[in-house]
Amino acid sequence: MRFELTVALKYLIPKWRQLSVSMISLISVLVISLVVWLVVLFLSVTEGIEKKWIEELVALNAPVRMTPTEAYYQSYYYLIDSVSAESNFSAKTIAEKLASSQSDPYDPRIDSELSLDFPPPDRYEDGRLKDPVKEGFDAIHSLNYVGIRPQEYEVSFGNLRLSLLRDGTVTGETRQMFLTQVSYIASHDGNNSRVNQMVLPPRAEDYNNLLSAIAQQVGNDSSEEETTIFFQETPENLSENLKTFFAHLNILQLNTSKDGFVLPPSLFPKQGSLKGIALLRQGKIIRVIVPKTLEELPSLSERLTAFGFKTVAVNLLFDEEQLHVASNENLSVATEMQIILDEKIPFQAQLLDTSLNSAHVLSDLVFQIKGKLQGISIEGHVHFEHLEIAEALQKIDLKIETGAVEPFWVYPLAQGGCHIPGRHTSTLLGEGLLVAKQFQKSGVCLGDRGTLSYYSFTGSSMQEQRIPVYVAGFYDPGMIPMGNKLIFVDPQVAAILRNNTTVSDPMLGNGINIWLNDLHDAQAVKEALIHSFKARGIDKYWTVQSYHDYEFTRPILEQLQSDKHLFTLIAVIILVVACSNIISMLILLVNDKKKEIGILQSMGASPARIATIFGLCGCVTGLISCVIGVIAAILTLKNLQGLVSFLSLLQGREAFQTAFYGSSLPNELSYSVLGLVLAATLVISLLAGVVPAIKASKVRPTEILRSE
Amino acid sequence: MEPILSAKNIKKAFFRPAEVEILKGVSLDLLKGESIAIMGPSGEGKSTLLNILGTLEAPTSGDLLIAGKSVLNNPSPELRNRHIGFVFQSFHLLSDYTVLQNVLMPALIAGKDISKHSQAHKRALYLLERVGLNERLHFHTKLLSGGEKQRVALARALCNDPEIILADEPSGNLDHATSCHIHELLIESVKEMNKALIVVTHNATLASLCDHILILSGGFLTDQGKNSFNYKNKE
Repeated sequence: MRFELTVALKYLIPKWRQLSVSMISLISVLVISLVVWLVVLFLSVTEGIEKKWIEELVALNAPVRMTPTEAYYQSYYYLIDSVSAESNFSAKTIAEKLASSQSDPYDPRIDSELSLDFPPPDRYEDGRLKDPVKEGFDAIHSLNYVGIRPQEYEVSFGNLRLSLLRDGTVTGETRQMFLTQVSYIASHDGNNSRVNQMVLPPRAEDYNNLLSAIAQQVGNDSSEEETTIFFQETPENLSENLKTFFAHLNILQLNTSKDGFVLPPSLFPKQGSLKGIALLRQGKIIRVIVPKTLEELPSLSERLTAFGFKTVAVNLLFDEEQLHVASNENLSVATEMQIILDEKIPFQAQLLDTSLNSAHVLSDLVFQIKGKLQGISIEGHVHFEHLEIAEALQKIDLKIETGAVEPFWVYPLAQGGCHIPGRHTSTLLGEGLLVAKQFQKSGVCLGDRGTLSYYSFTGSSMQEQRIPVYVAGFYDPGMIPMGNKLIFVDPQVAAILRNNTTVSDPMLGNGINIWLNDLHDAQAVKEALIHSFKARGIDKYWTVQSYHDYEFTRPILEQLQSDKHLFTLIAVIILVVACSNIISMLILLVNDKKKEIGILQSMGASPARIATIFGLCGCVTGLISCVIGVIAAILTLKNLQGLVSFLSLLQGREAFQTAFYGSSLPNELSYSVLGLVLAATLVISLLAGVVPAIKASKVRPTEILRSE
Repeated sequence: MEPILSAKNIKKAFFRPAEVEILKGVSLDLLKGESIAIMGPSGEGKSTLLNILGTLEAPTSGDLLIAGKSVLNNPSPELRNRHIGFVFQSFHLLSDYTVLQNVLMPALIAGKDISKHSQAHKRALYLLERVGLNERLHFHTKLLSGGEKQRVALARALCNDPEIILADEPSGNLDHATSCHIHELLIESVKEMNKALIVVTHNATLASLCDHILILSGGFLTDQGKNSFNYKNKE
């Protein structure tokens, strides 16, 4: 093969003498690499999206799920609890069944006699009652898959009512809005690390809202009805809450708020001047509004004039803490004149710990700030008033133990997974909720409080019960239908709701989630479980489904599969067209090299070896193109975000809807796609080389050598 | 002694555009170390005969034995590679390769190791030195003169150490002085290395240097014996 390869490579080196062949081979390489680039890029991204979608789909619904069948609910095993004193005459959830010491709590000596139509017990040959729950868990534990973990889940529903307290249009006024939604309430499994990927980091406005929430005297603002739910805040409580808040958050940047920030004399620059717009009352300057840059002056002036203020441009001159206000009209200055910084002026900030320890109200907090205003640096200590958090960094301490001071927001755990802070963190706020991203669009921020209500029988009447709650985190439900209505709470809260509500949908309600590290194992685990249940004689009590079977995933997954197959087919067709260039290139090459073929044959090269040379030429062209295409694809994938931004800019709108594709497109090279494209290109280019190779092998050396 | 090449009653006819039998029964035995010059008028089929002897072309009938094996039923390129070296009138060097690479090509085809210090490489260097081109090893062949090209062709023909050298008008494209040099080199090399040579030529000087002169005329070969000048006189 060495001879064939040496000659083939020699033929492929572009030469001026064979300009036409060189040009065609160059074009072939370009076209094939372009197609390879496109195919690898598109299929990698598609596969990444598919993987992401599947992960999103199973992030909240485990890859494998077991739900009790109708036979389970009609069985002696399930119904016997409601007639047994041992079980307090109430049916048990799966978790309770698992924890109970006896499979059969019925005691004929104490409990009343069973009716004739009561289902007969389903027993093993040795007389033991079949225990589908314990046997089921046992079957799961006996399987040997990486990270396999059963978790009993409960989904119930409740009515969520959130009260959104926001600053009004007039300074100092607070508006209150309500948001009510009937929601599915699911117990949050703290060990499910996939949910972590879906939890969204808090935004600056979330921190601000949470901060004002823990500082607000709820009882004063809300209706009378609400005050009975929320605990009254005490100054000690606020101080503790502030310490908790800042223990987990590093403030990096503060912005002046929309009310404007009054520049205290302590922050006056030593030297220099600031330009601003003065507001006049009775011919006197009462306020000077200073924008961040000089360019903003005209727009600021327009804005203020539109509000009906009488304005004039002024120059503030600072000289060793002396302030002079200079204007064209020589206006007099009111004694109480204030310098107000326009909204959204950023300052680097650092909290002074001493102020935190003694803070009783928010404005007791003192920050060391540093920033530039119209090119002049402003530096000093300020109270936290008319300022808002613009940038903060969470101090992630994974060693937070349950019961210790935990943040007010959903936080990651050391062993993976995350935790929703509960009532124990703050009597002020209530139970934490992890709600869907959709709530953000309705204006909900972290710290918004409300109630989760449900109805329960008390004595003879149906009464509304309420659990105080607050928004502790947002998650991205991705593709999950009804994701927006699914709210995660601490398992204890879920259990309270579960005991008072029933969900008829078997996919919700009660069941066992089976988590796996590798999603590819899902189908095998499902089959192994079905097999094991049959052997244990409990198969009629359980429906086992892998994520492929879920009602809400099947259409998406099937659509994804057919899309992928369709595009692969199109890709192969495009590759065939691109590789057909190789045929023309090789035929030209054979014609060009006829004399050499004759010479090589006279030296003992067989027609088969000559054919191999040209076959190799096709293959090598394909391979080189493939390598170029793949390298280009890798580079593009690395800079995909830039490309997407460019596309968005070109179209004037978002190129890929975040609702479907997430905030960024997946940019991992798919090795299966790489394998497919490499194999397809090599096979097609080899096939393209066949015709020219046969033509080459048919060259008769005597004719060629004689003609000279 | 058994002939290294033996042609028996070789016939060759061309059927297009009209049937012409160009060789009507040629028989020939070539012993090891023997040299034969085939002369004759143009168009009598000298080159065709040479191609048939070199297994590049199949005869219409007859038999050809190389190293004792009949090769007509299974003409194998490997056999050509191992036993036969060609020298053409138009040199037929590979233009994209250097002098050394051209000489090594038969060894590469044979699958031999041609790396530096290999046997094949050493032999190629020896042959190029023998033909006086040891200073042109890495020259591209297009930079060489006609005489130099033919010397490369001769070195290449000898590379795989074949028993038989077939030369078709080796000096046909060269001037008189160069021709003489090539003739001497060809005959000397062949004698020195004990190769059998068949040379098709119109050049009486070259023919006279060979052991035998055969005339191909009317589709038959006739032996003219050693004294070739008779042939020249006849002309």
